[in-house]
Amino acid sequence: MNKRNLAIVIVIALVVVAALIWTALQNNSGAAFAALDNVQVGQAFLDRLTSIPNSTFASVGVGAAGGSIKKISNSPELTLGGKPEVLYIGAEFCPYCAAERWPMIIALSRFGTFGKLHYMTSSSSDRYPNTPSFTFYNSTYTSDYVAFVPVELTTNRQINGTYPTLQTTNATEQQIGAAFSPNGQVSFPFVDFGNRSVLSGSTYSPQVLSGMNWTQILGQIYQSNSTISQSVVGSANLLTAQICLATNNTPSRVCSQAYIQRIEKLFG
Amino acid sequence: MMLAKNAVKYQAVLVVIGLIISGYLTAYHYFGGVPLACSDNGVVDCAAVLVSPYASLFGIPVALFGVLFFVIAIALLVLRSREYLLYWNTAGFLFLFYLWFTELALGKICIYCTAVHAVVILLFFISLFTSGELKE
Repeated sequence: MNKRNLAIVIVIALVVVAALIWTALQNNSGAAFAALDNVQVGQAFLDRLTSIPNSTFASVGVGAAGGSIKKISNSPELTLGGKPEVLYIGAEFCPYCAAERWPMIIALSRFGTFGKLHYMTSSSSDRYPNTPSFTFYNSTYTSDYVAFVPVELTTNRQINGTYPTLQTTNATEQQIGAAFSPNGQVSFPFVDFGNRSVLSGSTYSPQVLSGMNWTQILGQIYQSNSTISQSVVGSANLLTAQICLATNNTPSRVCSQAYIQRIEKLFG
Repeated sequence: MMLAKNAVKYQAVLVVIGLIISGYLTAYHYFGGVPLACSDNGVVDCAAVLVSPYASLFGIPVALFGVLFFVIAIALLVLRSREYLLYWNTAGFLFLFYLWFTELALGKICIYCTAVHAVVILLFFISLFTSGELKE
């Protein structure tokens, strides 16, 4: 055996390890989060995000969620393919959309299955820069109970002072946004739950997610007493109740939960 | 000495154990639905470690690197290349320091990862103590 060769192997390995550690230290920062933009979310992460125990949902209830959800009366149902439609209008740059996608994914996953979700951060030059989130652009969603239609209007990186367009709303979606928004100005995120209720803006502040990476946020979601859980899980329960109202409380395994019924009563 | 006489057998068993666990963790990364029999709260939280950004290097799951490590170790055992096996196990042992750093950063421990780390440590020390005289 050759001591010199062994020493070389040791030196090379130590240099590699030091470089990896240094890189890892750099990567836990807001600007570095953007390196994950458009990287597909792994199945293991997605499974964990969508496997929150019912006991956690029940324990949090509405939690610290709030925001502006309004009941809609005397409007025809919004449907697609025979199912109530949940229409989301937002943008990748938008920090409030970034915050809201977490509970939206959790809530919608109780009615169906997401695929091809990708990581995304909010704009680095807006309030709450680089908020860790996801994008609904190019994602898939399948459900027996609800049709989810996401529209991400722009990217999160300015070019010549504007955010490039990703998707556009059709005439119906524009009408809906204008009709149910204060002063006809759509606030992002805008979510229409089958024309039974609408959300304008986020149900909690993106500040709650500040300084955390996706893994840390996910870990905190499971701690029902944490600020993040109270905000994200509380919001997910609020959104779940809106979806239940749109689907006439199906499936019952979700909508008949006592904490969902209590929230539904808040909206008459 | 017993260790020197049976080093290949001991290392072969360890490599197979490491390969099975790494394979399981790789399957968990890609297929998600694979059940993970492990605590998911407190310091021992396998899922928190396995879904963290540190669970991948250059977009490749660390567990898959583990599979590769053990496959190459098997090849070196079959070829009876004690010298290169020592180098390989040394590199694997030193890489553990990065993995331990990531668990420290997360504040979480994955018991399956720890089992693989133990396998690599044992492989390294068996190689080291049975490598014979090291020449200058």
